Amino acid sequence: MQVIIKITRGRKDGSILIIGMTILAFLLVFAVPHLFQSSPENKVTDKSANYSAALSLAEAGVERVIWELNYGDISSWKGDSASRTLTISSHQVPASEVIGDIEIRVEDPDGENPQVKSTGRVAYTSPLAEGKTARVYLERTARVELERSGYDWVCSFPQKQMPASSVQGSTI
Amino acid sequence: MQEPTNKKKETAIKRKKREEGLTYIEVLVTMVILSVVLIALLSCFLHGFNIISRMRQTTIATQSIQKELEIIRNMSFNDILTLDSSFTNESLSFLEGSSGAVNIEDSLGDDIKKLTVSVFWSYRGRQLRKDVVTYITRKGINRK
Repeated sequence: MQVIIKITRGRKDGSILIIGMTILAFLLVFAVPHLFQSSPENKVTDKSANYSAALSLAEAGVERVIWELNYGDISSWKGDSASRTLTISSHQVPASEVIGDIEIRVEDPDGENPQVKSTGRVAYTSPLAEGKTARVYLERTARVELERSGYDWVCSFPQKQMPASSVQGSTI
Repeated sequence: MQEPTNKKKETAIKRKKREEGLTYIEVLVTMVILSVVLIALLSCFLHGFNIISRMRQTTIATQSIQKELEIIRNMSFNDILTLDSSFTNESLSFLEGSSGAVNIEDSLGDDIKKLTVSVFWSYRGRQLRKDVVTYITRKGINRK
């Protein structure tokens, strides 16, 4: 009889700790993946937003080429009649974090169907750890072919677009 | 023969007393451990929910900008020049204190403009913004 009482008491003594630890373990199972998942997903969302900005810059490059062919003078760009290039640096929004560069390359600018390859590059600074940041460059490329419509140069339809993206990172 | 038996009984009583007191200490220790860990866990959850909320807002802002940009790209150049400097759409209503802005700046000539579409909103007293910048021209993309 004594032995039975002792065993019962022993179980009661440890039960609170065991229940407590079980609750903690249960909460940890939910909390830890929640924490580890949300942080990288935030980076993905930021990158997605910056990819949109990069694509808009790439499209800006295409618009610039169309304008140069219609109203400007593309012969002032670097290169020769086979291909011409232009880089627009710091195409940026004041008071915003978005800083973009555009690299434009026009193949056969004097021909019947000039081919435009325009790459928009957006840089943003993301914190890596305390006191350390990484400047990441996100690129989107739009490739289109132009054609004559009357006296004007326009995008050929359907647009021959070749989206391409790459990520480069360097610690600063 | 009786002495050892008595000693055993005394020892058993002492142990029993010790065991009875251990429960309260355990309760206290467990409560302290639970409190500390629960506070840490709660902050983890709050941090996670904060990140999810910011992600949601960034996505809504980006989508609103893209939507407005697509609308503008399908307009004629003359209509773009007379655009209102602010815009709104149903997605923006999900952002607290939000507003959309369209800014058209002069660029190289009359037939090319620098277009900036921005969304502003506030989150926990902080002012946040997203911008997309591009060029538009009279004979440009979608204006054949």
